[in-house]
Amino acid sequence: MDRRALFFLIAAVACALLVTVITPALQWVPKTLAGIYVVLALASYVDARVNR
Amino acid sequence: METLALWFVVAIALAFDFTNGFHDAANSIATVVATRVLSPRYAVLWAAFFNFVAFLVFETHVANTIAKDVVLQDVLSVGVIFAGLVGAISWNLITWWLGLPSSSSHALVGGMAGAAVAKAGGHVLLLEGLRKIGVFIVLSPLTGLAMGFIVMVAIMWGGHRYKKVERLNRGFRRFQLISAGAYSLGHGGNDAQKTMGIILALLIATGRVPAASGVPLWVVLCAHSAIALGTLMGGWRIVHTMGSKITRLQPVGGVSAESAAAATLFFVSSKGIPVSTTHTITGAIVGVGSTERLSAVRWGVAGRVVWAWIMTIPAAGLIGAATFMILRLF
Repeated sequence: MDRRALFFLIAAVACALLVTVITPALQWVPKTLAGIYVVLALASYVDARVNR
Repeated sequence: METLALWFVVAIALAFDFTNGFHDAANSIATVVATRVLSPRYAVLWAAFFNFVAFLVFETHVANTIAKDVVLQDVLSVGVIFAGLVGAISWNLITWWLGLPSSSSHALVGGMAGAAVAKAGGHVLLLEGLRKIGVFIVLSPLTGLAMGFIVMVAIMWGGHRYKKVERLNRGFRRFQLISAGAYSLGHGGNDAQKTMGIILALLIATGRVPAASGVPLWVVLCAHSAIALGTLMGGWRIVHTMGSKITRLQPVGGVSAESAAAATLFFVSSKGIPVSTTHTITGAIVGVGSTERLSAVRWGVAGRVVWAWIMTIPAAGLIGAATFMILRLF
């Protein structure tokens, strides 16, 4: 797997885990970030496949 | 005697703010200097100016979090705050000497928490506030990283008609002035408020202002002046680490990283969350670097930075606690 995609995926997991810890009023921040990192991981994976 | 001690600790708090400027603020000028958009002298003046005027832009939510959401207000005293500051300043100096861009903010929170626990035990910690600060230790660099990556990709897409990257970079040299100014504004808005929070806590603890009070204007002005003066004195070891050791940046990358970090700092300051401006810009620089390839990021240096992040709160807390215990002997 593309190393950058893996890195973004790990970042997404880290953000998702923080959703359970953070105060409810700010939960949308790690949720949104997790979503963004999933998209970046997918885009990075596709980019690596296309340019291989 | 208490009045003398109060003003002595206010002076120490302002000195901490000065060291924060010295330690952190030069991050915002690293790319401007590296790409020769401004000479070091003018770059430092530019950053210091925006550090100072940040009080006109941001409210004092971060100061209130530091003063009221870290430890129970009943436990705060001149001695506790002094010990906390000693813990934070000592850790700042140790990491400065080692050339590590650690967080002055987390050192401050750690020092205060350590001294308060040494005085009255673990129950004085306000877990809700500490949880918010702790979660953003991780979230602020990750936000900066994602935004740095997205802004850089957007700029590259927008500028794809420029076949030569040199031409694109030339155009972005001027934008760097704006992005560096915005980052310095965000830095002043978040970091100067931590000192305001400490001084507010002191004033409340000594009964100078009521517990529900906001930050007095003289405190706001003194804190912003101290951080701006610290920036003027510069922190060249840290500039070198941020600007070239993590990843080499061109003007377009500098604009992306600084804009991403500035947007992140504007957001967290509006929510009253004290974060490390160093963490944020580091994340943004890594995000920009990783648009090329992950190997463009020098992970060895980034790894040392992460260790400094992990160590900061416990280490500053231990020094703060030890200082308080020594103070109690006298």
